[in-house]
Amino acid sequence: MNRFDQLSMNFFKPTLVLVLSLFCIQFGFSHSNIKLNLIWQKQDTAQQQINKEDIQLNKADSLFRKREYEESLKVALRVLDDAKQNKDDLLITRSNFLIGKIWYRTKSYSKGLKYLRLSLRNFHLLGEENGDSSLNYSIASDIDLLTLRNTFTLGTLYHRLYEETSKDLAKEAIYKDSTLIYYNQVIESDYSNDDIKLLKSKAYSNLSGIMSRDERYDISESYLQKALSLKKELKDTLGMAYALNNISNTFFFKKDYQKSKETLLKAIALVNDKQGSRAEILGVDLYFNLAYSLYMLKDYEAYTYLEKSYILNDEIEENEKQKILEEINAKHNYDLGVLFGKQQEELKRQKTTRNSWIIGTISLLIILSLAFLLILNRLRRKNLRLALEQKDKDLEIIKLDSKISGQEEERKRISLELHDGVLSKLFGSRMGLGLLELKTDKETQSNFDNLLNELKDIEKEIRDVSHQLKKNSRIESLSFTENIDQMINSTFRNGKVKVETHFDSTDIWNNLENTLEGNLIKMIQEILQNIIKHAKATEVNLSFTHDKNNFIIRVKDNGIGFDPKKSKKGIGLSNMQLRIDKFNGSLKIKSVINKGTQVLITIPKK
Amino acid sequence: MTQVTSRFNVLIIDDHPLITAAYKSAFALLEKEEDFFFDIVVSHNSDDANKTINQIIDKKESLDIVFLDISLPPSQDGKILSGEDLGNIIKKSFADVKIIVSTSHNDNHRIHSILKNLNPEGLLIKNDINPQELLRSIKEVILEPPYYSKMVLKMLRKEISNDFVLDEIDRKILYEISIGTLLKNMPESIPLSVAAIKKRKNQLKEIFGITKPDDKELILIAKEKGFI
Repeated sequence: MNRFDQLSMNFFKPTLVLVLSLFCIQFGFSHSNIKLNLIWQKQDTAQQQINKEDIQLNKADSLFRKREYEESLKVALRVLDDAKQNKDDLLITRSNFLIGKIWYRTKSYSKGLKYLRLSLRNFHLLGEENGDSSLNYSIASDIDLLTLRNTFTLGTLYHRLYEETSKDLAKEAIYKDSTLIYYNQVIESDYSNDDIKLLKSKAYSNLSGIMSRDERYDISESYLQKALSLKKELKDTLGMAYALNNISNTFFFKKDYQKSKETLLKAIALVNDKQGSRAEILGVDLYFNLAYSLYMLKDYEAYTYLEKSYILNDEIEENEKQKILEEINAKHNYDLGVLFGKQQEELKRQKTTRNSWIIGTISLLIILSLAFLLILNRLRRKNLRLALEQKDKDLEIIKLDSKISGQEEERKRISLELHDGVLSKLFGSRMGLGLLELKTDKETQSNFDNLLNELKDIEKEIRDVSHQLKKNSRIESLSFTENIDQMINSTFRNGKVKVETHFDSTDIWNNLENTLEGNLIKMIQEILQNIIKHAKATEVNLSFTHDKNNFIIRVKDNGIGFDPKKSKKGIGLSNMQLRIDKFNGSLKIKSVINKGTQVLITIPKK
Repeated sequence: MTQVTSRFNVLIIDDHPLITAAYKSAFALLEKEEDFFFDIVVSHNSDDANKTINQIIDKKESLDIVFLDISLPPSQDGKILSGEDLGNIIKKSFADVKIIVSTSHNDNHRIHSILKNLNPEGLLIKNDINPQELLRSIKEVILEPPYYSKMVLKMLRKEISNDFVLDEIDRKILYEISIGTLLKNMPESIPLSVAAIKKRKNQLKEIFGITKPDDKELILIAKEKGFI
């Protein structure tokens, strides 16, 4: 049995961690809009402006909730700037809070920390200010709620860092301490409306996770009990079931399988009549855990619950990933069905023959089906990991794109600065110099005039540069084919390379979906840059074709080629791969030394 | 040569102190060379300029010469968006005023719209002139206006030598295409529907003899002909 115990620990621990980390992710950000109308009323100057900014911040907030982090960040940063100009402390702080959450969400933890800490400090200050003045109670409580949310978010950030750090023990300790401090601040708050109760329950759940990781199951359980009673007060049945599931897990770890079973049965009773995918997914886990507890109790009713878990799982058709899972599931169900069939046969025979070796066979079957169970669970986790990896990739692309749009912004800014600032100052100085009454000889005077003309030429150059910069930043408003043409013209400016471009249909290529268009342009830019930098080609051929199912882009050059096996994947190439993965496309690179390189991009039509 | 009064009230409007100082020294030089006397006031933003103009009106004084920068930051109440708006206020308030617009914009569309809307007595492209031309422009605007700097004249000549007749809206459409405005967004700045703008665009292509479906060619030719 010893080996089994070990197995079961390995097997259940991830489930618990998984459930807890789900808590962190979901609850760290479940964030409802708070109306702070009352606060605006006290600032009647420029009230319109402020209301506008308030709406903007709410917009950023809703973008955040839709996971459009890049857009949300843009809006939030703008609001922050405006708020700073208007010296609106509350708005500044709220923007900082949101920006912190965005960085956190996009895994830029250190930036997230910076902003969240800043906003928390300011919320505290604002709270104190409000405490001093005789403001309306509800404003004060709004700020308190925001403060607490901020505290909690910081806690979850540290929690995340704690979970993800495993090698550096010193850091791990710091992260853990910080996590505990912030969570404790949340649970020690003496306010208690529903929003705050919810926050507290989350903090308790997450605290219990940390305690359970330290194997302090008693404390872990007591935290969960508190979370449970808070959920009860909030009438959140599903939340109660989650809490009960976690409680049963602590019992399981303490090897108190009886209590674990009882707790799970309570949870199942709560979930049974609930609809919705979250309830169903939880149901699967509950039955699954129950089956295991029963197994540990050597109660072979376990099979019924195992089956229930499978049936429930079959019902969940959330997404494609789930479908793949189902296929695997169906296969294993079949295998299990065969096993169950056999088991019944054996039972019949047992009745007639009552041979003791049959019992041994049953045990073997149990072990076998548990092995299946294990494999199934691993597969499920693998799928989840794949989904998470995909999300990471998406985030990376978001970062890439925002970097590029940042560059464009910067170009615009420099262009404007050159045109309106530098150019005007140069002109003013040149005029001023030219109108000085110099008392010199003719030669010096003519030198002076030449230099003045030189200055005028410099002004012209600056103006050209400024126009050029403005043009480049305009790339998005051209059509796809125009963009490609312009890119080719600007990349192969010296005219030494013969470039041929072929579009099989301008209509189709100029009506690509926006994100695909943007990504294709950036990929082709990358390819052309590589040709310029490395290939030494004299001819480049680009062809854009499509068939029934795919868009096909082929870029050929007659350059020096490279050995794909020897060359390491550079950042450019891996970025390209990321972009192509996003559209489920494929990237093929064929290169022969001294013969040239061919890049083939295939993107399926949707 | 016409007889002129030799005393002039001058207002210089430009947001760069270096530039207003240069203009001032140009006026100072002219005072020495010619029989002129200038009373000069300087404004560095549109609010300040507007205030000065109102003061002159209140005192019932005259304003004779205005040096006007086109790209000024908008006034705080948002009523004056550029030098062009300020110029119109000045023209309305002083019948005999002579305005010299100096701008760093050199695109034909902008210059055309300044000529059409403001019709200033002088029009200088900042980075196109040298100090001597600056002096000459003031003198000529006083004695026999108008004075346009070289680039403006070039543009006007190109236009006259063209056989095409394009109205203001055609020009505006060309301009919007050239700065990359999407067709669907054009009705925001052009008082026509998307369909009507598209129709006009196709007519323009016909006029210029363009067969390609994209707009690049159209813009290149329109630029060449001096319409934008």
